[in-house]
Amino acid sequence: MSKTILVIEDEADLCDILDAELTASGYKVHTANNGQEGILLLQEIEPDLIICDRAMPVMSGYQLLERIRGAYPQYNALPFIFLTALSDPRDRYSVSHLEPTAYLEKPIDFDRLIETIRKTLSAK
Amino acid sequence: MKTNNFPSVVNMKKSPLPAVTVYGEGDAAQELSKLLYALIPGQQVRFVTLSSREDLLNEVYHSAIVFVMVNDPSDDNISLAGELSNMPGVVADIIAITPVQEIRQRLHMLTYDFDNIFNWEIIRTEDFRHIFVHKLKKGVMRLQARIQEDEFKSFQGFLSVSPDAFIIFDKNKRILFVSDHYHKLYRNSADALVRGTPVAKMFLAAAKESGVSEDDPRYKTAKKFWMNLEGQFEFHYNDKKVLRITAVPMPDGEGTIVTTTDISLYKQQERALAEKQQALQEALQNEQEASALQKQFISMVSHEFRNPLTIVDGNAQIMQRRMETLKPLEVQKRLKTIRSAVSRLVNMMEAVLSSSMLKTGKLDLYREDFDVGTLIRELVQEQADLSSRHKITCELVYMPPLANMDRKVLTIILTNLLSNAVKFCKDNPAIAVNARMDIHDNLIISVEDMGIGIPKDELKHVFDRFYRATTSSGIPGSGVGLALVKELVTLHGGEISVESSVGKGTRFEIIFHSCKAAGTVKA
Repeated sequence: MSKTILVIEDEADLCDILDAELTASGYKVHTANNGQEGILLLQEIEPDLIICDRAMPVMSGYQLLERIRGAYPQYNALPFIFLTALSDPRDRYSVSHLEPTAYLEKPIDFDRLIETIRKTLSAK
Repeated sequence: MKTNNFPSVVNMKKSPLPAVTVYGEGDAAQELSKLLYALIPGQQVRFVTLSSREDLLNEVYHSAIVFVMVNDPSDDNISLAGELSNMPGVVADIIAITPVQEIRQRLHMLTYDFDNIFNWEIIRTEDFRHIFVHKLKKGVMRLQARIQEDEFKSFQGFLSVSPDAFIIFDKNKRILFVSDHYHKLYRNSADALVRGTPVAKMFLAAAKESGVSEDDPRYKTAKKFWMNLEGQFEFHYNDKKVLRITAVPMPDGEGTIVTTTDISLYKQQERALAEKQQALQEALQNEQEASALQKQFISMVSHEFRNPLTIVDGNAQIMQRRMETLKPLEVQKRLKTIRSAVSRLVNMMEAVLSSSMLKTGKLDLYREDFDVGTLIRELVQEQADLSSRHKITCELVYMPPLANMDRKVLTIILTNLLSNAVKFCKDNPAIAVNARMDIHDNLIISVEDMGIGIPKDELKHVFDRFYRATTSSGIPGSGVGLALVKELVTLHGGEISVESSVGKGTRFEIIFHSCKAAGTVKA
């Protein structure tokens, strides 16, 4: 059975690209436009991995991960890949205590992203 | 025998003691001097014997009485009396001492302006002693009066040179002296500024002339000062004039000197300085804010650049990886997304560049005659190509074939307004662009969308740099666009206004003044 990935990204075009490429790579993809939508969808679809933008309106990726790691013990070990458009390297350290699986900077290198997903999910 | 007490001259510190001066050559002069001294031993006078004319001219000024030895009517000294008594400030009696006995000749000598003429025989008499003592006493008094007058004159001179006004009160708080400046200050209160006026009366007159009534808060302060004649206070006139009034007790404690200094200029400078300081403070604060904004801007710009770049690169990767399997329609879609992202990047870059050029003053207007209507249509079409979901209508009325504007500036302004309209009305696709030229050659362009709108209380901030309306969350943007638009409109000598209603849409209207083509001539 194919693994399910939840993509949370506020840029609709980018969401679309991720959806297309990950689907083409054999994953089942769901998308959400912000952290709040993501949390609602999370409980519905029980994904195997989350790819999430760092800066988003309503609820940022940081707030989302904080929630997941705190309020939902069942998702404590859920793989979580950050995508970020922020250039300041300090942002990476500001989330490290929440132990995201990876922290990838935009623009996204799909080879690297898919390799990261593959390794993470096979190790699980 | 009469007493020989001479009044002592006040303030004699700078003036020598009054002199009894004997002028003449040889032993006779010395002898006379000794004789005179013997007549009034121990008095506060000097005895001076001179034989040089020049010395005499100096000493006569300090002399109470002068004796000149005149041997006969042909003596040169005979002219001295006239010369000395014509010198200003000379108060001494000039007395001739002569051996001449003949009465006719002595009378003639008197006509040379001597006050008296004596011969040696008389000098040795008791009567002469009386005459001498009396004349000396009168002379000392005249000298004293003259010195006081001199001192008063220089005192008045000092006062008139000083920019301050003075008023002196005696120990009973009555006016002793009022300087000219003070009279000028209170021209209509002359009656109350005379010697002997009690301070209370003077104060009432001055208050009336200054237009300060009893219920004025300044009245109380002023009254307290004048009644006590102590300390200092500042009086602010209704115009910008400010006086500082200070009471100083007289050195002998026998009264008070009140000085009035006009400190308007000082106050004015003080205010100017304070204003400058505040301006500096504000400039510094602006600088700090600008620096904070710049940091914020850099992080925002990098964020806003990375997202469209990701879209471009993501689509490129998809096409590269799956070229064979992608359907043409899918490729079309990807290419369109790429173009849209690139257009976003270009707009943003233009915005950043233009705003930095505006900031450094390097952006100059380049006005030319061109077909503005066509440019507006092209820009609208360009936007329509990028966002096929939207329906953009463009209506031009009364548009002349040519108008005089800066093509680049107009392009940036319209592109920003159009991309905003598209961005903020995803669900309501209708956008209306209207442009017309009015009879005063003003070009009026409006861009109206039916999008999310901006809350009323936020409207005043929409042109602020980095400001983003609360309704804009979730929609990419840096808050630079409208700030830039406003700056460019202003640079072009125009005005921009905005109307909006949340949930209904937003309408921007720009008026560019004097856009008549330079080449066109009205028929």
